[in-house]
Amino acid sequence: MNTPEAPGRSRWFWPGLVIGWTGIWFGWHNVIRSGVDPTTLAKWLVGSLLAHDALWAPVAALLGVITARWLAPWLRGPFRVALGLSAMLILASRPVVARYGALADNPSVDPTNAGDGLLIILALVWSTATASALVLRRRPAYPT
Amino acid sequence: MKQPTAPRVSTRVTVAVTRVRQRGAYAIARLETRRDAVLAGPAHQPRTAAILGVALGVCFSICFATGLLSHLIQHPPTWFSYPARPAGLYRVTQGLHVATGMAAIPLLLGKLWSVLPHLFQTPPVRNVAHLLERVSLIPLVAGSIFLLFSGTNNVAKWYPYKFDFVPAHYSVAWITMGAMVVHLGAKASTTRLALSRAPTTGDQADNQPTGSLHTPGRLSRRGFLTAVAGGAGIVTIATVGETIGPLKDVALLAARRPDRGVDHVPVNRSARGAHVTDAAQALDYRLVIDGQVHRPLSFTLQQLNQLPQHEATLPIACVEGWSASARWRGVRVRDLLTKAGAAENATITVHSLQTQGLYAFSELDADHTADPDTLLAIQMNGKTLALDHGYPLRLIAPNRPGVMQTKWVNRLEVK
Repeated sequence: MNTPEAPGRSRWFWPGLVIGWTGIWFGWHNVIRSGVDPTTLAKWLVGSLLAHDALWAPVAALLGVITARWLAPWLRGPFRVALGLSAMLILASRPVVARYGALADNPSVDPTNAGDGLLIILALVWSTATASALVLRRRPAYPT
Repeated sequence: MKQPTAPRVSTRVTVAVTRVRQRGAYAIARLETRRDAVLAGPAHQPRTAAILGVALGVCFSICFATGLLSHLIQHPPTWFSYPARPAGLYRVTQGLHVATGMAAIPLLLGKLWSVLPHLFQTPPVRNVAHLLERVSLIPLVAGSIFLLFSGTNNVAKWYPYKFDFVPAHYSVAWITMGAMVVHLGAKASTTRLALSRAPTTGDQADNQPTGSLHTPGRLSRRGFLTAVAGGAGIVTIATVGETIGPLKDVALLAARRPDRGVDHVPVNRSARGAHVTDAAQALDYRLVIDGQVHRPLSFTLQQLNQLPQHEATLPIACVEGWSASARWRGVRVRDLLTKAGAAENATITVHSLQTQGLYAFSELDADHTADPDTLLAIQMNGKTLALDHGYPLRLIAPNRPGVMQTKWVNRLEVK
């Protein structure tokens, strides 16, 4: 059952709009003042938005449809959770695992074993998901 | 018998347009039906979005406050003063900044997934206020993703963009927080309503539709939120050990280990990277104390070693979130100022042999100058300071960002 939107507009709407856009203006003003190229930064901001809305979200939705079609119900939930967590972990750890910032004269930056660490974590995630799926498989469906 | 005539062109066009409109309306209706079915799912319900929104708001608020503090410490306006105690405060605040930023990654992805169907709501704009609300989502989402992306890259010291990370990250933080304030104001009532409705027996804690069959494995609201929280937990535990020593062995994804580096302490900028290798080892090296002093002084390293030495255990707390404690031994800064006839709590500029870059010098305020643990260190952990750690002299003071613990010090200028 969906919770409906609160009737009318929140009394904080207009104050929030004014205060919030003052903050947005201040931030953009600082971009100009600090010498950051606004066009380049704007491209990165738009690119960030598109990376989610045009790439990440559609792929996630497509995987949702595929798993709904091809996976048994008891397997669907654990598999989706493991897949989502794996994608998030790979994305979040990419710069460290790939050692993009590694420096030849500074071995303390981006340790070389982060890739092994990621594999260990992914193994734990998928092991937990598999165990959950096996437990759920034995449970019968029940009316709500 | 008269033969029927072919329909006129205008009639055929009208029929074709009508058919396109009908098919379009039918397609939109099907999409809306599908969207509403998705919205009925536990992961996309207002209560789910509200819970994730609150968690994300808390993370972003802590991240913003601690980041703003770090900015003010490094670029202090005239009205700002920062104490020397507690000695490890910056270590805590900056560690919290990076930890909440990392935890926000799965929270943001979960929140965006939860509200995704609303992107296709019809009509897309109901009135002017609604238009303003929806337009304000653009800087909110774009800024949030950019902040987490650039912050994560900074921890790994990777800069794939041409602009300077520090001002860009700081400016976008203000833009994002401003957009968040707009969003809070717009959604305050809805959020309160969503959080105040306890699940009923018809609604169930698992949010299954009444009268349906619950199939084990189907992801409930609780399951979805647990998965998101689990993701935040994993990311946090796998990275926070770069500042919390006892967790360093499980910091599998941390960009730094607090015990890995020259003499088991991490290094941010090496002597080679700062182009000071020759100057730091020059035989004619001297420390100069000048400016507003009665007696300008100059010391060789041997002379500094003969002055009264003091020890202090203090952390190097980097702006990138990692920190590592060490035992430092050297000369008190206030003792040197006394010798030069300057006030013990004078404000000084600490100059480095490094001539290029933002951190070629740092300002030391009165509180830090007068602190008994503010040293020009000659040794670290019982050994002569390594070149990459600032040999021959390094400033070390309590409660101060690592970038301001100036290395390769060659001059104290008293203001």
